[in-house]
Amino acid sequence: MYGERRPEFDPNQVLNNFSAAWKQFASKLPGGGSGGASIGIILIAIVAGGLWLASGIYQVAPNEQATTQLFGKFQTVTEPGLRWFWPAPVGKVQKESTSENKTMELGFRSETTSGTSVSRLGEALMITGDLNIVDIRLAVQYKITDIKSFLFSVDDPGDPDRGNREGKPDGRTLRDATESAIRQVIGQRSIDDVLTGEKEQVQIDTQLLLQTVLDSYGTGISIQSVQLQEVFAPEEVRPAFDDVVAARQERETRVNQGEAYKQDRVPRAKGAAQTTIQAAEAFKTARVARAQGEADQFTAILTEYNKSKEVTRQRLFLEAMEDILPGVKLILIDETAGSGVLPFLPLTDNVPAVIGGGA
Amino acid sequence: MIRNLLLVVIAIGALFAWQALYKVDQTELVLVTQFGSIESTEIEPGLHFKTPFVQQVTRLDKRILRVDVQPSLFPDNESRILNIDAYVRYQIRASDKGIRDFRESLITETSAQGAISQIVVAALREEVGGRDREEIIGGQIILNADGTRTVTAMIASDGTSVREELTKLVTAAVQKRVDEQGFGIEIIDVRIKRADFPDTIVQSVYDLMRSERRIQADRLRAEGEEQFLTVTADVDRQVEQIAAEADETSNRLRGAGEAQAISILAKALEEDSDLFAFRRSLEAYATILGGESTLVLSANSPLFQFLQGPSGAGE
Repeated sequence: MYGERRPEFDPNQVLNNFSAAWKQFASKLPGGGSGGASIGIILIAIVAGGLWLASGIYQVAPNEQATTQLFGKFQTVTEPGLRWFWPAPVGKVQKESTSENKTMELGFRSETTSGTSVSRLGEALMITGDLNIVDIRLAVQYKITDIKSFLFSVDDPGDPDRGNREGKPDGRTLRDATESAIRQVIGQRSIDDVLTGEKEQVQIDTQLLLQTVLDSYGTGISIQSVQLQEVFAPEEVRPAFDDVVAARQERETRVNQGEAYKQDRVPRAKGAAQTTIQAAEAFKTARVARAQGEADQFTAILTEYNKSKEVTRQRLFLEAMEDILPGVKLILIDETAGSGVLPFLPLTDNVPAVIGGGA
Repeated sequence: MIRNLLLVVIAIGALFAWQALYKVDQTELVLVTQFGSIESTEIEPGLHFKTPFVQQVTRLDKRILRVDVQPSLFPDNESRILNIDAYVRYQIRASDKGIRDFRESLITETSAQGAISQIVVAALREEVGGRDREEIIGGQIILNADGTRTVTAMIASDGTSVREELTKLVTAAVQKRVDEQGFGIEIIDVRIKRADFPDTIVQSVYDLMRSERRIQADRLRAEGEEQFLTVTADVDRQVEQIAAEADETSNRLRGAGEAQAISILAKALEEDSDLFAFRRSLEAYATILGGESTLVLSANSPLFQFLQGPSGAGE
């Protein structure tokens, strides 16, 4: 911390250097180092002074701002361009990139060379409001918006991970505040909310809280965004969480199967119903038509029958007998042959008992 | 000779100047000491004078400083342990008294860390020990009627979240203690960076998480089955109903057909029921008297009357 402060200007060292240089220089001066000595000294002093003053020229790059300090006291913030200010040890100029969006990662570190990332589980694993553990990787985008506050308000041990030097509050100060904020926000939600619906709100709440904390320190840092890169269940329990996802899909599948069953069975049943109804319709139509035909036939026959009733009757009878009797075993009994005696009883086995009286 | 003398004069003058003047940086507070005792303090940045050679300058940091409290185990009000990692931000009071107090009690920023850290741990232990674990995490678990859980932010009496309230209370407690001890510092805040389960219970937390997920997965699968069965049962009912209604319609149609047919025939046949009976009987004989039948008839039957003579079997 304090011990690593920029080395103070050491007067004795400067004096020694100066006199050594002087001796070397004076011996080479015209006049052999005695007569024109005072002129030489003045000349050298002017040249040295000029060089010293010239070393005060500095350039502020387009993405930068700079602060100037005179004997340690803050003077101004300077904008991009070629500038001059008192050189050390009188003045001090510090430059900082202020238009650039910088990134800090939490829970993981991107390896710029290989393009992969390494997880930092200590940062990534945190407790949710329902006392579950969730694994969160996030990236914070920030900007230095107040270079004076940034440089003079907050000490910081630096974050060697990201190459942050000591004294810059976007090192451990930013990391601590971010960890504190995200964990506070996650601690107010259930793991399900964090894993699914509330990512946006988590980002917004974390950004607000983080900015409040940073402002209370006067860091001069403005958070541009907090982005949740990854949110998942810890590796140890991930299969159980994946199974819930699978179960949810299975539920959908089962619902779809039910719907498929419905779509298949109902139309078929309606089709079958139509078949039954149409068959009945056909039956009805046919029945009526046949009855009508029969009725018409009878009416037609009756008309002719009425014209010559007896003859037609006889004819019909005889025609029917002609049709029937040839196929029938016929037994005739003469009733006059005698009564009291059974005239004939056919007892052959295969004679069906059809006994007719007088036809 | 003159040149050397001049050099010596310049050297001595420079030495005096360097000894009499000192810079105070924008980020510094300065103590001027004389033979070990504090002579004066300087809070304004810039160039300042002191007595050459006898007075020494000691520099302190004016900026907000950080003390990282070592993570340690804290029991809550039911002796459940949380591993809490906190940090403190403080600032040396930029006043003559503040600087003197700090210098006399804590000496340097480095040696201040231990003392401040101890006070913070004590204050945290007290505050955490009087609270529920959930309060420290910050979530409020609400059990819903359907067995699910909702988690919302636990709000403290002052309207902020409980974590924020905890931060404020601990900060105030620490401020009180450091003031009592005359440290000459302002506590900006004490924040809990991490509050984790200790390693020893992480596995049981994972077991609990697994069992909760199992319940959820089982419920989802059962719900799927429920919906499937509900739909298929309804479909089966519909199918049965459609078929039955079709049968109903069908039978009605068939009955109507029969009725109409009977009515048509009856109307026609009633015109001469005798003829109908005669014709129908003949048809019936043809059907009844099949190939194997034996018919016993009287020889006097009208059918055979002409067998007995051309004029018939007249009496």
